[in-house]
Parts: sequence; C-alpha cells; structure tokens
Amino acid sequence: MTGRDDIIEIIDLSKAYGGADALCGISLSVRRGEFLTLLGPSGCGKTTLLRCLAGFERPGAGTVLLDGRDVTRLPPNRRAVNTVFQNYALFPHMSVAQNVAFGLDLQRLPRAETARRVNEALDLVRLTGYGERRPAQLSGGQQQRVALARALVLRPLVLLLDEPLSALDLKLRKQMQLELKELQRELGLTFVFVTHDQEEALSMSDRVAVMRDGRIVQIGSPAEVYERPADLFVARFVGETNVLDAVVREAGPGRLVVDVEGVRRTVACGDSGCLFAPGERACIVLRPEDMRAATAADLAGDEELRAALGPEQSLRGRVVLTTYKGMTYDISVALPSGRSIRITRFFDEDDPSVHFRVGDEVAVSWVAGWEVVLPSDRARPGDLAEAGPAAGERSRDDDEDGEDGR
Amino acid sequence: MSRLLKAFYAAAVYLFLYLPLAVLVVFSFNDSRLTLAWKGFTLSWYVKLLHNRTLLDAALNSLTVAALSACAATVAGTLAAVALSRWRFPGRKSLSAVMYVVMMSPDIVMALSLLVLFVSLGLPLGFGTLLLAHVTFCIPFVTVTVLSRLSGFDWGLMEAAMDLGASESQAFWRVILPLAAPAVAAGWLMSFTLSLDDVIISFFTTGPTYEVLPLRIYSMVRLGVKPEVNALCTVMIGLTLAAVAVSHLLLRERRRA
Repeated sequence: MTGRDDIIEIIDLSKAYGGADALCGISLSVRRGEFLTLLGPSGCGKTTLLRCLAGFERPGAGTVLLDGRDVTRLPPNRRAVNTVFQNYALFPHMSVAQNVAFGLDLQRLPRAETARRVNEALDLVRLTGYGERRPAQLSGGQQQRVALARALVLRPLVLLLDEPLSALDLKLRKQMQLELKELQRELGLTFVFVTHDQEEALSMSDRVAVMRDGRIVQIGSPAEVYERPADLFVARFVGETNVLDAVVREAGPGRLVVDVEGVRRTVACGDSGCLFAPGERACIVLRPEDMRAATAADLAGDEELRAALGPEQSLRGRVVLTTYKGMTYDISVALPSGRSIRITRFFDEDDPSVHFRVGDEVAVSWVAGWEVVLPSDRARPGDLAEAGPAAGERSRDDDEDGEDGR
Repeated sequence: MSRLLKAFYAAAVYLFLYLPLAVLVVFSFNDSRLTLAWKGFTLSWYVKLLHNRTLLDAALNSLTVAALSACAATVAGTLAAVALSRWRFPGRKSLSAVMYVVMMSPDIVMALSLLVLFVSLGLPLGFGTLLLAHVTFCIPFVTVTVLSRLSGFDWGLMEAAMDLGASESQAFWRVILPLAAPAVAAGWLMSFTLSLDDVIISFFTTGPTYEVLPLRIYSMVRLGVKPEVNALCTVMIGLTLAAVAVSHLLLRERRRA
C-alpha cells in the first residue's frame, strides 16, 4: 500500500485532548526528499501532528508508517526522525560541540568518528570554530543553526521543524529560509516544516498542507494552494484575498454568469461549474495583484484600458486608502455595497508615482479567468473571526502585510 | 556620618552573629578548667580530645549518620522534586503539601511519632532507626530546594534529549541532573548539617548502642562544660567554614564555565 516514494505514511490519525479533537482522521503521505509544510493558524493541530511524527504524542487512533515500518507506538528515542524545536531546546550546560555530539555519544560511536561528524555538521551550518562556545553566547540565528546541526548530525530519515524561524527577526528569517531550503536540496533530505506564516510556506515548500480544526483542508504545491484555494478558509489564510459576494444567473460547463456588486460578468469556474444552480449564492475570490483600477482620467486617455475597464464589466468604487510599500503600492477601494477591496499595483517605468488619491472615483476590474469561484455556503460563520488573529499574526511578523481590511 | 552609622550597624550585626562562636573558640585555647577567666594559651584540650574515645566515637557516629542520611535523602528528595515538577498526577498537590508539613512540624512531634512508630513495629532503637528518622526529616528540605531550581525548567530539553535518542533515564542523567546539580548539592549540604546537629529527634530514636555527638555533649554538659567540648566544637566550626568555602568556590567555577 505504501508507495516506494513515500517516506512517511499517516493513516487516519486522530488525537483528542480532554474531549476536544486536536486531530480528526488525518491521512497524509510525505514523499522521499520533499519539503512539506504544515500550514495553519494556531490551534489547527499542525504542531500536534508533528509531535505525533516525532513520538512525543500518542495518537488516539490511526497509524504512522516511517519508511514502511509502523512507528505509531514507538517512543521518540526509537524513531529515525529528529526535530528542530521552536525554542531550539539547546542544552545550556553543554558547549556547542557537546550539544551536537549528544546523539552520537548515545550511540557510543568512537571518539574520533564523533568528532569528525560534529565538525562536519558545524561546517554544514557554517558554524566552523564555534564548537567550544556555550549556547548562551550565541545569537538567535546561531543557536538556530546549532539546533539544526544537532538534528542533522544523526542523519535522520526525516527532519521535523516546529516553527523554527518564528523567533528570528524578519531579515534573519528570510536568510534562514533560503539556507534551510538550500540545505534540504543539497542533502536530499525530507523536511516536514510547521509554520503559521503563509509566505514562509509558499516560498520554501514543495507541497503545502493547509490545516484547520485538526483536518487537512487542502494539500498541493504552493502555486495550487495560492491560485486554486479549495475553500474560503484557504483563500483567506494563504495570501491576501478579496472576496466578493455574487449570485449565479446562468450556469454552463466551466463558466458561470454572475451578478457581482451590481455588474453582470462571466466567470470561469473550472469543473465545479455544475455545482451551482441559477439563483444560488457564490463567492468570487480575487488576489489583490490580479485586480486593476483606473480613474476616469486614465480611461479617457487610454483605449486599451477602456476596453478592459469598460462600464459594463467594472465595479465602481472610491479610493479610501493608499499604502506605499516600496516595490508596490496598495489601494483600498470601498464598493457601493460597503465592502472594501484591496488592489496591489507594481511601480513600473511608465508610471512611477502613486497617482490614486483618497476620494478618487475608480473603475475596478480583473482579468477574466483569474478569479476563483467558491460556494458561499461552505464558509461557516466562524470564518471571519478565525481568519482575523491569524492575519494579525502575519502582519506582525511581516511588515509588508500592513493593514488589511478584513 | 551615615557611613559611620552603617559601619557601626554592620559591626553590630556581625558581633551579634559571631560573638558566641568567638567566645567558644577562645575558651578552647584557655588554660583553665573553669572557663570563665583567661589563664593563658594552651592546646592541651585538643590533646585531651584526641584521647577521649567516647567523644570521638560519638563524633564519628554523627558524621556517619549525617553522610548516609544526606545521601539517601538527596536521592529520594531529588526524585520526588523531579516527579512533582514534571508530572501532573492524582495526589500531587497533597504530596507537596505533606512535604511542607514534615518540614514545619515541631521536632518533638516528629520525634515522638517516629518513636511510637518504631516501637509499635518492634524495631530495636539504634543505628537503623536513627538513620531512618534522619532521612525522613531531611527529604523535604532536599525536595523543596530542588523543586525551586526546577520551577521554570524547560521540559522541552527532556524532549530534545529523547528526540536525539536518549531514554528517560539517560535524559535524566545527562540533562536534568547536571542542570539541577547546584540545588542537589545544596540539598545534600543542608541535610548533612541538619542531621549533624539534631538533638531532639535523635534523642528519641536512637538507643544506647549508638550514641551521636549532640547527645554525648548534652550529657557531658549536664555535669559541667568540659573544655574538650569547646575544642571539638572549634574543630567543627573550622570544618564548616571549609565546607562553605569549597561550595562557594565550586559554584563560582560553574558560573564562570
């Protein structure tokens, strides 16, 4: 049943804490050599899942196969996986070299062999010559590397990383993201990485599993998850999103005619078109960078723009906020329905200045076919409330996010 | 002015604390049977002490019991502290409360209850019962000391150790114990001194076959203070000072490392 390419096979894993389900029937395969990220807001079960893989938690039901062997009931010291902890968990009473040698000492390797492998591991994380220092004498980034070396030196089948970068400042985090990814590629090692930072997940992973309430909501490549979110939760959690309410007027194969914000448009909806009946409500999900906006003056001066943003296909709105972001700028537009949407523009050579001003009347549209249509009834009432804190966390971690209008 | 006042105050405090000890040390060198007047320097009391077999035997007995009970109490007390801080189990709260009860209860109550227990169990009073009694009253001191060190201990370190291949006991020996070591050592020293100078509990729980120093001195003093006792106490003060100095050095070494 296990494919040769799967290093970890999780079958129907469940875990409950005091009556509350932390994991509900998770099934997941991790391919040999891939970088898989478990992404989700706090409390979604991603860390619990990782701890089940490491052996710190006993699942209530289900099976974990590691390289084809059932390890569900094995304690952590008898699994060929190693963990990089969120707070690094370095042993403060040992030097860096002793920390890295800890696992090797337990295996009673010859002294020379241990020393060689410790040095190798320290070289690998670019901490050559730091062996004699104490963890407390190192910076956060260096401690992070020691934790990495300590886990890698044992040559695990899978490396588990529990939000390892969350304690680092933005610049260092970006750098460590690159280094981790490079290391993973170089070693050909399987990484299972837990994070609540969607940007981190998108930039590092081969596949992303988006989790919520103890379930995997969607699993796929970063591009799939970003461009084809399975539901509104994923759409809102992964990246910036505008969600517009629409009513279906006609449903055809692969396309729908909808009324959205007082405009009738034809939208592409892939294979899910048949799921909608005329009269039904739907949600149109649009990424800020896929949207266009233009003032009346812009339209008057540009034939091409007029074709794309004609009155029959554009929403009308008023600019309420412009945000300068260096490489891009964002404008927030209030639609007549009261909904606020966000549009991201890139500066280009032709148009180096922010020419939208607060109060401008603008026409708003998007490239046909770049929208995602999702049924609105799948969105539960809790959606907005739950996406809130997670979004807040992201903007705190990441200055680029700024204020979002959700 | 205020400097002078502070110096005076500090001197008064030190005088208050150390004058009795100083008097004892001085009189141990006093060439007089009647200890109240200075009659000249002598070491004869120390020589006498060397020949006083019963006193030396009692001192050896005391040191033996103190060392053994400190070791046993340190092992049991440390394990209790680890269990109390690591796990949540039924009866955890009451167990830690009981520790304080044993610590706070008057010696005479402990002494009587231990005596009643030993007698009703039919145990002959002597070395065994004395050791058991001392271990009993020392355990809570070790537990409380180690517990305070382990409060805020990052149990993630334990998980990290097991993740790297350590069994529970290997993780204990390699991670928890080294990190708790200063508190464990402090607990041992505390137990040792508590056991060494205990009078009341020892009085009730030992028998004629095994006499310890405090009881020996007590019975000697009833017939008048002998200067050999002063000499013996001076030796013990010296040993205590040495022990304090060594532990201080050890702790400083650790901090620098």
